Amino acid sequence: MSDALSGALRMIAKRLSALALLMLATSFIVFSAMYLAPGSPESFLARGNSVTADTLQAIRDQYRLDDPFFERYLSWLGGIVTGDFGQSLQFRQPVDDLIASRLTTTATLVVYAFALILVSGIVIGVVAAVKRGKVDSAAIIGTTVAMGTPSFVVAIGLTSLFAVTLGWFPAFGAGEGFLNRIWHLTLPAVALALSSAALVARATRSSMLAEMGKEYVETARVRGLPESRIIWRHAFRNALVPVVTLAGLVVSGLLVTTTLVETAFGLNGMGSLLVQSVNAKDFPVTQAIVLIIVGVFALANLLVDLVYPLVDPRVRGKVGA
Amino acid sequence: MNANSVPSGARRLTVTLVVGTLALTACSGVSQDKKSTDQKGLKVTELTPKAAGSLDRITWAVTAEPSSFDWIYNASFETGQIMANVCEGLMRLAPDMSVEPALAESFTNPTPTTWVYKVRPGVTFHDGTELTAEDVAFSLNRNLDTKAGSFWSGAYENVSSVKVSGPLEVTVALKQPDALFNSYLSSPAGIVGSKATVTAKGKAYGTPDGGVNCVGPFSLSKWDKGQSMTLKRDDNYFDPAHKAKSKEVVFRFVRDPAAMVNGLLSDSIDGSWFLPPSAIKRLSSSGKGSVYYGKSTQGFNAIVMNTEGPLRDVRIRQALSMAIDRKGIIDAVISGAGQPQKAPAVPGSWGYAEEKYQQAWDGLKVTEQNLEAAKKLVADAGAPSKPIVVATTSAEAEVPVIGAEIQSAAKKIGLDVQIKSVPADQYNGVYTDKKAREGIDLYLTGWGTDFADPLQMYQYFQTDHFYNFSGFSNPKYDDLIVKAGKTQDQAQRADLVTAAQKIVVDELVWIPLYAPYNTLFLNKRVTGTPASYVQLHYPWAAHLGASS
Repeated sequence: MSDALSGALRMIAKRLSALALLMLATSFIVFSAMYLAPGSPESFLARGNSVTADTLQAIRDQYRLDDPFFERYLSWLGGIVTGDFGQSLQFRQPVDDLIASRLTTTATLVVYAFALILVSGIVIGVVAAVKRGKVDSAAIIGTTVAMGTPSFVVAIGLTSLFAVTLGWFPAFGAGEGFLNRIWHLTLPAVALALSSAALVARATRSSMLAEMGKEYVETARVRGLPESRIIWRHAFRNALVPVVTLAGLVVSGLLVTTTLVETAFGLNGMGSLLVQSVNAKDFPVTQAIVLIIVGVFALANLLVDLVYPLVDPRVRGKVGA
Repeated sequence: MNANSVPSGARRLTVTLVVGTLALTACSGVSQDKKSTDQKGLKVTELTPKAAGSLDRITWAVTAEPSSFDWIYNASFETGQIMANVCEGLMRLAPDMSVEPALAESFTNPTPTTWVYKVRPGVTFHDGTELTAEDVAFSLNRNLDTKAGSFWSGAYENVSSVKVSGPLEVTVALKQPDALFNSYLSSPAGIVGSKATVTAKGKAYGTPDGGVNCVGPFSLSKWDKGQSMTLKRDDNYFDPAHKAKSKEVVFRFVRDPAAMVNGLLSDSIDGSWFLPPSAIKRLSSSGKGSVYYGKSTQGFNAIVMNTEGPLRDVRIRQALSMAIDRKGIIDAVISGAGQPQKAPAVPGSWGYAEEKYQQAWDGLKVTEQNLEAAKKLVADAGAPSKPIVVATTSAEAEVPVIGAEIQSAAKKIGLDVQIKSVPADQYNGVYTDKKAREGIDLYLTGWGTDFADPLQMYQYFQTDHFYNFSGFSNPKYDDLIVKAGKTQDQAQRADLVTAAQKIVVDELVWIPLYAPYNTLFLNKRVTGTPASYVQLHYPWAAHLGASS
């Protein structure tokens, strides 16, 4: 086994154990916060119906809400270890079922948006850096506006133009089947992607500008290499390092922003489930979704670190150090 | 049972309606179009135009996914309006707000503490099995099982037993006379499910995987978790008057009000109840369909949570009530779609003895605006040293606006009101959590009755009642309410209830604000449902069909 490979494996092991600790700490904080906040799940469930005190007690007993704090936390933790994420208080269904049914929507949306971010961000960034002049100015103005516009504002604008006025895309819903789903998720994905795409475009542009000014580019030009080869094979490849770092951060951010976008487009994904669960004090569901977000965040960053050596040979061998 | 406001929040509204003099033929109906016009020129309608034909598929928006489709856990607007078309009970609430038999063929009340229900013969559940007295007794008894935790157990407070007493007969024995029990059976408290299915499914009953087995014009054919529920017409349904006109109704879960409005405007959703007040004008003028206003049993109140603080002196509560511009609030928050409210039980809940209730209502003065009298009361009592704290939440768009209106009204008479914004998840906590009520003097929320009887509302102000938040206690009041609860004669009951109403209004245990109309949007291709507030307890979607 090469040093580089075993180094990488050591790093993965280290990062995964750190992730486990991080998740444990997060789960405890979320649990405590939900425990301390006023209100109770049974009051949400009964919705102001005139139930008897016995009924409320029966609900509390069903969900063991009167158990001591640590006992409840430990019994939840025990369930997780055996792969049981518990029952949702508000939906009376197993948490994993509940999340699985929403995962497709959220995952498709995030992947779709991420693809839009990478493709449009990189293309705009490279083109702006190479062409300069008016193209560059337009890109700078455009990306500034895009970065400053919150996703829910974009959502409102897109819906009223493309869904209500023009009728090109559906106003809400996630659709069924692959193509239909893509059609339904286009406006949400654009709303989700816009500001991050602008960010990636700006990062790509400045990184490209820096690379294009370097000596090896001059050298390549002097040697008569074709310009497109210089741009894509040489400068772009080196310019990619900061962009990859940024992409890792963006992907985790998407999982959080998706909450707003899902709500605005009436998509029943994980983000809107999270909001609903917090409002209903549905602890097991909240906990599971928060842990998924933390997990994705950590794994995305790990992935970025693993991709570095492939992009930038200089980093090779240093990984895991 | 009680109340509430619009979806996002918790609570529940109620139902009732009553268009007093227009006694419509309940059943089926839905034929002619009864309208009255209020002073603002809004038309208040009981029924929408009758459908001309069938549609293959109608798409309806609800703001949340039902948490369970088991009737004993049916406590939300969303669950209620879907389930009303799938699971019927012994009684139902007709569009004129009267209670009529559904799965019961007839009922008698041989002694004040006995109700005997004849079960309709030849009725089948959605799986084809026949409805029996066993199913009825089993279903009602689920509400008496404390371990099951029924949200409708309150309706059974006075019930001692429910037993099969004949081949198609069930007898309910009460511990003491209860004038509301029979009406309660038009709510989910009276829903009947198949004993065999409920027993076989156990905990899975009413979940997306377990499904349900009821009697109703539609069966639940698909529950796509997190997305939608699809109802399919039951061709074997027993009642020709309520047989479904259209083949399929899809209920989409659309949480965001703006997304829902976009859906309505882009023809992807055919209709919805409980329209966001801010969108009413846009929907009315869109040309895509019509907005209807129906009578409702719901009211919106400022509930006094604390009678020890700045609101201790009843004169201060009266002054605040007389300072509030109720018409102004109605224009500002619900685009005029409602009427000023003078007592906790609104006109829509007067299901009997309407004249007596109207007369009593007209005599209530502390819930009418009168700035001079209000200023005098403050001068007499002396303004409290601490500000009056009004809790609001941004979870419901109208609440902060109402809070601000109360604040400015109070300022005019020299009272200091402070707004406390409470996060959505904690706003509903006040119902069960004393801690959550601390530091709140007034709490803004909607409440109403489940059927057209103001008595249901006034029971909440009895000493030590679960919803008697401020600890109001008046022996004379308790006495009137207990008597009313045992009085079947409607005129006598109305006398007792209005006497009790006067006490609660003069004391201003709640400060009533406005009674919103029931709002409904229908795309122009669809029509037929009643517009009055019966969507939780009447198979309204059965009448939906093509408008031409």
